[in-house]
Amino acid sequence: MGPFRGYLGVTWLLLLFVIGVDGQRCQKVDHEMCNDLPYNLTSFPNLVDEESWKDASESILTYKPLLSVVCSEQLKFFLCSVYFPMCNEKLANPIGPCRPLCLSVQEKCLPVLESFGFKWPDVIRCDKFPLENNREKMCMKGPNEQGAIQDERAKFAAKESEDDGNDRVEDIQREVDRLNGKCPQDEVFLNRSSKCVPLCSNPQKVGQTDRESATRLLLFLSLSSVILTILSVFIVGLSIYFRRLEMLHSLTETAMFFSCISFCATSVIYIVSISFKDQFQISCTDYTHHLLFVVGGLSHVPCSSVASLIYYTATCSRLWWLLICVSWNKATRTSHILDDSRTRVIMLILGIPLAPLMLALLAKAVAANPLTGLCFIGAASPGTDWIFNFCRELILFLISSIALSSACCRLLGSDEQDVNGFAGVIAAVYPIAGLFYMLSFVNDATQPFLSLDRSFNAVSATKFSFDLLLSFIMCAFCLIYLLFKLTRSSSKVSKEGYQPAVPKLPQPAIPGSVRSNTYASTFRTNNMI
Amino acid sequence: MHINTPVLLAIIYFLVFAPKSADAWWLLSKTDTSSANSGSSPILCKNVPGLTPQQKRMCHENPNIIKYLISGLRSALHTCEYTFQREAWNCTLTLPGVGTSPLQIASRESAYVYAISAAGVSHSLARACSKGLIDDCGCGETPQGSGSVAVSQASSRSSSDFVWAGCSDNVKFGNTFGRKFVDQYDRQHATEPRSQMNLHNNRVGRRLLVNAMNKECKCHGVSGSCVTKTCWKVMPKFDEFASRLHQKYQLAKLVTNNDQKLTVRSSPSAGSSGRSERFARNMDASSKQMRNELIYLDASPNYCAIDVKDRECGENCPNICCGRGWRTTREIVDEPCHCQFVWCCEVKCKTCKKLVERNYCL
Repeated sequence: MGPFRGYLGVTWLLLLFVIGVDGQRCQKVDHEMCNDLPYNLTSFPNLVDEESWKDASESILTYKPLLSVVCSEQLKFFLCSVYFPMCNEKLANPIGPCRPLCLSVQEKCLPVLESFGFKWPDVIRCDKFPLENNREKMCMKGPNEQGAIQDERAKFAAKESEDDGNDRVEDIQREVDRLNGKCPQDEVFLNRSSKCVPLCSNPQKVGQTDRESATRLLLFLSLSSVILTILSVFIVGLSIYFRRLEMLHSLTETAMFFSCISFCATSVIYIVSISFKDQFQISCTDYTHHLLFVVGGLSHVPCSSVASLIYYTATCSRLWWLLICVSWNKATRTSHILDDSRTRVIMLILGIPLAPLMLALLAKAVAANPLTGLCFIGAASPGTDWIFNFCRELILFLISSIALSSACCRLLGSDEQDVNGFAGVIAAVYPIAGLFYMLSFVNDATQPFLSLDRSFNAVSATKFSFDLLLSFIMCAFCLIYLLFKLTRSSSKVSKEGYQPAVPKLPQPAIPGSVRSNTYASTFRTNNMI
Repeated sequence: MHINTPVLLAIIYFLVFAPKSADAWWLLSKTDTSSANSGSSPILCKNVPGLTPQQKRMCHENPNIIKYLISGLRSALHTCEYTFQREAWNCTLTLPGVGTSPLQIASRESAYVYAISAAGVSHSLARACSKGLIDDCGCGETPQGSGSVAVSQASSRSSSDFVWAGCSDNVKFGNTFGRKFVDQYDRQHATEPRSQMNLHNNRVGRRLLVNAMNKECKCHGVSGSCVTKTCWKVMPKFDEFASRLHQKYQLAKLVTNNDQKLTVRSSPSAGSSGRSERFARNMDASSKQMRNELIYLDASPNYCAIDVKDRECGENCPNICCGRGWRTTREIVDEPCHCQFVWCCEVKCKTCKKLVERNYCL
């Protein structure tokens, strides 16, 4: 083993002598015929496929007899731009002459060549040069026929305002390619909706680590919510069993508990969807023997079911939370009205979310999210996302803020028994959280190039896990409230059941005359001992 | 004569791993060439361990040629790394653990390294000859007879007529000198299977280089006219040659040692009946059909033993990362876009933000 060790050691030692030299791509023109060019950098191979400066120099010098005739003032610039084309570090290809320049030179100099028995050289035939200078193919128009070079940088500044139109032209070109059925790789053209749909095998610019992080976060939040809800139900069940205290006495407590139950339903749907994502094929659908990713307009029953259930239960939970905002201060008039018609309130909370749900299904707003692999209402397009998710949050935010403000104003003249401070704190958490959710929409809209929805970061995590985040907060607060109430009611029971101790009665006074008796004194002493 | 299989395998194992310092000439690619002048070349040759006395003498007597030989070796190894950058084995010549170097194992990877090194040496020497950088040689041979025209028919010359002239790449000199230097050790041990394999693969690399030569032409005349057209032979670009050799690597043949001859057992094509197996033909590795094919003696080792952590895996992550997963890093890079050329002479570009994603093994 000794020789091998030295063998490898010497090898690594010799690696230190490796020298790497990186050459620059552009080099100076530095040729006697082309010294007065308006540019001074060139690159090889040139436009006639010559590999070195020496080859180009030998070739261009063969044109000296033609140059001496002065058949065209543009000939020198033309030859220099072919054999020593302009090089720029920002561009991959060198810039040569435009075709009009070549045709102009050919028109004047070809008769001279033909008079000596030569043809126009094949290596500089004019059809190989661009017709005009544009963004796709750049070329130099060269000097005019008098040999003067006119500066066009002033024109470029005026033309710069039209660049947006050129950007639109590129988008139109991509749209035309799409309408003609040309799709990028890993995408399939859908005739029905005339759009390119990615395959399920297409990662859609989502990294594997991001996907796993998103799934892990969703599972953590949903499992936590379920556990907290089970504990809350256990406490309520215990209180009902012992019939000692009504846990859900007021409307606020009922709203809190049912909000927790609704969020638990949302969490269960998340857990089942994530766990059986592959078995149920939630985000993938079979379409003409292709497994396509579910996008907007592509109907898929498991996808629609999951998205609908999530949207309905999440909206119910938010409405229950809104009820807490309205009813935590019983001094308000609204609180009294709602308390009197409790059954009607419950019906409204269960019925109102059906309206936006039906609208969303009619608008085909259901689609799969590439990051989480689940289906959501509003994921079909940014427009539907703003309508069905942002607007829902905005409406509830405004109502809850107004309710909280009016309830706070009523605090001054209200009785202590009418105010549930803990519920007020819970009620205030919702508009604050909703504000962050809406901010993530604004952030996404102002910075679209970052593609934040394709990776795991604060903005995308806020959006796709907001339901579960609310669920976790509400379930935690509900459990804390129930524990707090249980502790306080136990203390009261202890006070009410107090049994008074037996009072000590005063001892009667012992007569002094009895002490003189010896026998009697001895008996009393023994008794006391 | 019946030989027991375990005994045969033991003999093969001993013969393959017996030479301890085989073919250390590839260490020359790691040496410094910037200070390789006539004064320091003896020090340079003595610093490389494992060279045979004949190789050291050639190195001492031909310092200028050895300089381009080293340059060829370095180019060969760099091209190998570029060709295999998206595969599990990325042309690493050293692996962790003693005795696990790819060159120590007679695998197809070793076959590729030997072939591309021999070709790299020939390529560099031939190019240096045609450029006049080596005094002992000049231009290569040009074909005679084909394409040449008679002087008497100058007036009726067509555009396809040309003259073999110019300076062709001297592949003959490159192959001759390269063979003398590179094959030195293996020819001294020509009876050993590993040396036979190395000699064969070196020959394949050189032969492939000769067969890949192209014709290149140029017009000569006043004002760019094509009065005279001269053509010469040039070698392909070395990265193109490496890609062609990579296909040979994928089609390399497994050989066995039979009575000091390497033979390829051809698989019977008419099913697997017992009678046809008895008449299966054993092809000799030096036969005409195997002249252009790489050969190897052992199966490739498991390259997943390499530490692939933090290696960039591009689009082939499941293969390169060996199932250990990978992570994606994202970076927002400003780059010029929507460039326009303004006469005269400026290139104006806008700045676009581009999201660059790179995958690294975990």
